[in-house]
Amino acid sequence: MFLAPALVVLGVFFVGSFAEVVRASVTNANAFTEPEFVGLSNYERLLGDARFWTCLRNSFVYLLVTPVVLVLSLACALVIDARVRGSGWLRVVYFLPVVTPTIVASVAWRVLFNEETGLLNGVLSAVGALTGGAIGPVGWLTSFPWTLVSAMIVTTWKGFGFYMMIFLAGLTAVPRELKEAASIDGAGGARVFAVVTLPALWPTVTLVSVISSIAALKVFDELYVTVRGAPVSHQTAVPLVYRTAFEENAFGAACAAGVMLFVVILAFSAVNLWLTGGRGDRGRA
Amino acid sequence: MVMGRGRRVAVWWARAALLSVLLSTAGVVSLVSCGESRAAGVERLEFWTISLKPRFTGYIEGQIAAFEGENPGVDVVWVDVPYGAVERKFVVSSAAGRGPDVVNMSDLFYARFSAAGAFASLEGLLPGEAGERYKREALAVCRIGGSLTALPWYLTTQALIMNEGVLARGGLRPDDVPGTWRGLAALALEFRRATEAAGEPAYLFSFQLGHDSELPIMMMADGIELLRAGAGGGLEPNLTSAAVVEYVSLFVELYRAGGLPRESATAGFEHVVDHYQNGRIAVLSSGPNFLDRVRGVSPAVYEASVVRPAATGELGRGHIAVMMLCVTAASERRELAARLAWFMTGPAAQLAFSRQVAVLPSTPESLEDGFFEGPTAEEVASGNSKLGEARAMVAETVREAAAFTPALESWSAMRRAFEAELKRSLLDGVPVERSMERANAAWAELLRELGERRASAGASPVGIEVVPRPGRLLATDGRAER
Repeated sequence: MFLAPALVVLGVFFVGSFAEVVRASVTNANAFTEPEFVGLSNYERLLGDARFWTCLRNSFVYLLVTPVVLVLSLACALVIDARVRGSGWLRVVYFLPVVTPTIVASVAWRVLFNEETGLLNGVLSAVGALTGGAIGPVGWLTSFPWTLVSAMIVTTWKGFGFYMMIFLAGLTAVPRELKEAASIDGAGGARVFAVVTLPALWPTVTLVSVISSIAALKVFDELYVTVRGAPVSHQTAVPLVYRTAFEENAFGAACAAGVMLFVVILAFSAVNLWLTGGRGDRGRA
Repeated sequence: MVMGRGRRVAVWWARAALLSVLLSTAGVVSLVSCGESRAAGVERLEFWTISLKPRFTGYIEGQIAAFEGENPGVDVVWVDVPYGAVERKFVVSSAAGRGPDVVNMSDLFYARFSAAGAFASLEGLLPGEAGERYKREALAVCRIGGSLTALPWYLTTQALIMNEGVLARGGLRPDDVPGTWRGLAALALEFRRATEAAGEPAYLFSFQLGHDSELPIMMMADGIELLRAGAGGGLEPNLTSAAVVEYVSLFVELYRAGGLPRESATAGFEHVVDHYQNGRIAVLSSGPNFLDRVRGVSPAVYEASVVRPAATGELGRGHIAVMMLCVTAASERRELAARLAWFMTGPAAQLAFSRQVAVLPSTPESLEDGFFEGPTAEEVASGNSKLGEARAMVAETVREAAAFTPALESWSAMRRAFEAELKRSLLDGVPVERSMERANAAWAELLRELGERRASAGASPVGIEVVPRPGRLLATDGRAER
């Protein structure tokens, strides 16, 4: 009874929608004609489409955001938790990207990444001039893999503040007396972090790891806005789904790609949970 | 805290009531938003345009009021959609069963949606003879699969808008600028290096190279065959020909050498306008309406700008881009919708529209008006004579221009396949021969699928007649002389 409202919402907005997507994936649905059943041909074409495998590969490359976000957000959380001077302001500054709309952030970063007039290449050119051409401008918006790197930078910038807040909440649960006892016994800061803080924080690390990796696999806004116009081979799976649905008007094929992506993300998340959850159990032993 | 039975029942009823209220509210909201409130005896037409608000609100509303006056009991609801959103919004609205009755389309969008069966045939629905009303080349683009499924509205063709100050940085004057795309490409790298040496880097020109690529149109304007007649009356791709590879290589090599902006491979037309407004490009190929925009955004660049006839290919003809009005296949009032499209595209209506924005009418009758012979007295008095000069120039160009867009259902998909392979050459270093082989294979597959669809529908194979092949206007090697 108490679960009824949540079940209704879940049923309507998830189960019902997912069932509709699966139904559409076995049809030739488009925006203008009645759909006809086509069996598994959408899936067969998808599995034989080199673009799908390239974009799926790029999605897994995009997962490199996860360790970066993990380390960065944990480091920022530790700084704020240490209550250094100005940590209150730091908390606000670190959280500002989270409340910035993704589209706005992507457009702003696109200006920074502009290969001819952008700030980043301007700095690189200046440094290159000082180092005799050892480094130079980068094709942030046109060259692979820099197109992916550009979008990953935006994702990292946008997300680390959110995960920092999760870590801050986790740090409040670390027993202070254990850290003090370890310090009294002669453990340095790094040792205290390794044997007291990190094991206690491991469930939070697991949570952030799973959430950020799922977000990385589902990324769309950053790629659609920041590196708009880049070839399909520079994109990940979700932009391919969008392109298939709204530019090629192949709703059935797009739904098939969406179902495939769901299965991949589900399998990946299960493995991720098993790997990180096992480590957490051993840490608590 | 342990609750008594009575309290548990009360809590249950409270939650059930809350859930019912929430669901009922959601249901009512969706019914109100989805339903049509229609007064008795009033027929409602939904009419979509592309990026005409707010500047042309008065004109469109006036035309709608005139149409409603001639057709009592008709209520036209006007919806204006930004250019960048019209494809997506049309697809989503149509999928939801809430598409418009009459929709404004560009020739590129039209080909794509026509192939998907989005538009109704206008044969037998029009109150007049389309062939006697509209420019022949513009009307030809509106026939897909032999059936008229759109009416040409306004036309845009291009002029070369040049910044004399930027040209001077590279040691050029306006009369030194070639009048052909090949000529511009041949001079571009030298110009870039000259401006870099002068300490103020600039590009001679740019265009949509990789994104919504203009290369196919430019090749056809150069007399290069992208498609040829196949066995059995169908079409075959011709992208592996030496002429195509040579032409594409010309611009790919220019891009790789730095003679074109990096964004030309991935950005649309906006990058060209942006670079021109900021003095980073010397020559802009555009319709005169963008000159008006430059005047508003960058008056200094506008003052330094001069207008010359459009760049052409070897055929000496400019390209006409056609904006059209279509009646959707899902419309329940097709005849009424066709009458609205006919009304909006009439000669008088188009002339009135052309007086408000620098576009050209698709009706030859309107083009004869003195308005297209040069700047008006008001434009001269307000210091906007360049707009009038550009208008006169494109009006002259359009008489001999051609709409190089093939009337082919698969054209949109074929262009996307071409662009995908072209980008591999531009950005990933794939040899042009290899990328054109892949594009050729993709085109062959698309044409094969088109042939099968037409065969299963009992229609004849699409032939070479859908590909515009106007004759050569002038043998040009430099500026085309009229």
